[in-house]
Amino acid sequence: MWRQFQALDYKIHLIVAFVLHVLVIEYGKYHDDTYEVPFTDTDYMVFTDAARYVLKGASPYNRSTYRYTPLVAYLLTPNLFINASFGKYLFSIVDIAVAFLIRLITKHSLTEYVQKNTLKLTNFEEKSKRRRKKKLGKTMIDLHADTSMMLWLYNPMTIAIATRGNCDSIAGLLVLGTLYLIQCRKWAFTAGVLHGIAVHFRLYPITYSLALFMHLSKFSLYSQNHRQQDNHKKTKKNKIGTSLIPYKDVKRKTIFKLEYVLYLVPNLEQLKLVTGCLLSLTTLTGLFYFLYGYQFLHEAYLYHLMRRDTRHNFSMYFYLQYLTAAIKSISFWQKILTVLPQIVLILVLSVRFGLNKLTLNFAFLTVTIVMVAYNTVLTSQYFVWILVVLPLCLWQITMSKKTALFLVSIWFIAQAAWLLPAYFLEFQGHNTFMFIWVQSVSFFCANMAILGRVIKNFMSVKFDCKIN
Amino acid sequence: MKVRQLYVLFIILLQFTCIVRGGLECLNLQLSVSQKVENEGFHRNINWLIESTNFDNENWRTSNCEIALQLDVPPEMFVNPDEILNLNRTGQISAYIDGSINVEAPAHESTEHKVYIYLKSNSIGKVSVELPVHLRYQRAVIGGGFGKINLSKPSLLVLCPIAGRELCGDYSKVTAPCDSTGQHLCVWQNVTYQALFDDVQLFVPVGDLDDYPIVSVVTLLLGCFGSIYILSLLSTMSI
Repeated sequence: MWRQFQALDYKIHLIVAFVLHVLVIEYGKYHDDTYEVPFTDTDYMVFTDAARYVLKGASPYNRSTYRYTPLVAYLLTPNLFINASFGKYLFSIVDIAVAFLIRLITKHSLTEYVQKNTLKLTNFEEKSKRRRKKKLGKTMIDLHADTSMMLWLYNPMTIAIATRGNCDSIAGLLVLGTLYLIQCRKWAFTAGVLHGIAVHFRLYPITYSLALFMHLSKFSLYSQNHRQQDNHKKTKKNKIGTSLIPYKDVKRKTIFKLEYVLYLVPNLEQLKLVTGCLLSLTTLTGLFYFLYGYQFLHEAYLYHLMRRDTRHNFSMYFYLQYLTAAIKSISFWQKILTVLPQIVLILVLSVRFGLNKLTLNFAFLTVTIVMVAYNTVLTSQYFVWILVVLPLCLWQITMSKKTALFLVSIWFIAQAAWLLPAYFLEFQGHNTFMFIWVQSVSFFCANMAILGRVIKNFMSVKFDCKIN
Repeated sequence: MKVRQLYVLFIILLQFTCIVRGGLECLNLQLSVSQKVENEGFHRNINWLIESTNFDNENWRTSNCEIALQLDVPPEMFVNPDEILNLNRTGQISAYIDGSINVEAPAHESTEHKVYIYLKSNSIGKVSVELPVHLRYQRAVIGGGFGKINLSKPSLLVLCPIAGRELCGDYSKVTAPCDSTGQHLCVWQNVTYQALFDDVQLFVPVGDLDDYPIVSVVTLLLGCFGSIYILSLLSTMSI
């Protein structure tokens, strides 16, 4: 049953998922009219109000708690003269587009992987041929790409987010669009422009900048093998792909080498990327600053940077932040030790995985996990950021189903264990701050353990065994 | 002719006296209010029951007067504007919030605000109203425990827009929004009422500063260990 469903043409999946979105939107209307707690996200009403101000020629920031780019208000003006649910339909279409991009990118990186690993190619093709007969014409690559797409498409969380009227899927589209342009099209400038828009839109994609920059470096190759080959080529002028030997270098491995500094010297492609990014980012910021003044800067950027929500949340740092909330001068070390570990990790992961042409998606995934796990404010809304990039790397993470299920269960159990003391604090008035903190610490450990497992199982030799 | 003039004069005088007498017939409103706070924790519901001991519904309906509750919300508490917007939309409440509210801010960074709840009811016999309120985080203290919030008694405001139908007694005047849209201001009378409840104190959990040493050391070190763990993994793998 599942295999038959999986084997359906991807276009059918896209249509089915869209119909599903439409049904949920229609249910949402009924729910809003019937129940006290509305289905529609509070922010959706904020967007609509902001769109109303924009239509009148006023600033969208006249609506209090509107903390997004004015672009959202512009996009949702049809809410007022076409249909109140226009925005939800728009976000649903964006969801479908995201799924389509996931498929394209996964397919591209898989094809590239197969091409660059000639040794594995034969196995892969044989397997594909065998599969093709079984799976109604789908190749192995298609099957992987479709599975990744379906992980996004039929995810209850993504459906809920779009249909409730949250604009996070647009940020996802911009992030994936950047990945598509830089990997599949190799358009550095356009990718830069889109990245700039993504940063303008939601700010968090700024952490992907270094990985994107590194991807275009001339030092960025396909694997360690290629790196080795490249070194050989310099001396022996060998052709790539003639003798791929599994990388078993016994020399001392370090995370940092002095030559890495050279990687930062930009080449033409990197300059294009940076120029494109700066161009779109400054143009949009400048334009909206000109139109709406300091209020725009404050609401769209500064608020998100300076946000210090001390209420309990999944973040391990919440209790520390709460305890020190009343203290005016927080010690220098506390600030450093809160920020430094994640900055170091993001930098290292960006360089490490960005410098391999096949692992840019994985760089995005690991950076996102680190960013989310280390965030000082962490709510379930942030998990969407992971969900956008996770499907891209699914084929690269080789884990047994049992291990995967085990890790997913740990993740959910850690969350559920947090919810219990949080419920007692929030709704029963018990003083359970310490227990919540202990649970958020264990959630952090779970996140780190999962990240560790994912990195360990990434593109390991097991992949070949599995294919065989 | 003279008789006719006298007759007209008589009629005018009669009407005048009627008007004067009508003006003197004031509304003697005697109200009692009971209050109950439901739920525990950070999200509470305040229930008020307003009852009139001497006024029948017919009298009240013809008077065209309106009643509103005014609650001064202390900094340790807030009313969520978006929630009120929803309740207004579904007609469960008719309320207006006066003041800016940051729902994320802790108590010591917040200010007071006022909420007006309009009791759009034709019957005065028994009116109940429910207001959802939320408590803010308070400063962590040594020893932890619970923080106190004093909930003040609400004020009852009455507005009788028709001239000649006024309340008996001399009440203090209050300028407040006329309705839940908050676009116009009216001069209301702040009437006294019989409170069938005591002043309430609400309690909210606060953080314990005694936890600070262990929390800071473990949190910050764990952040570093997590980072070192991932870095060590990276240094041993090859791709």
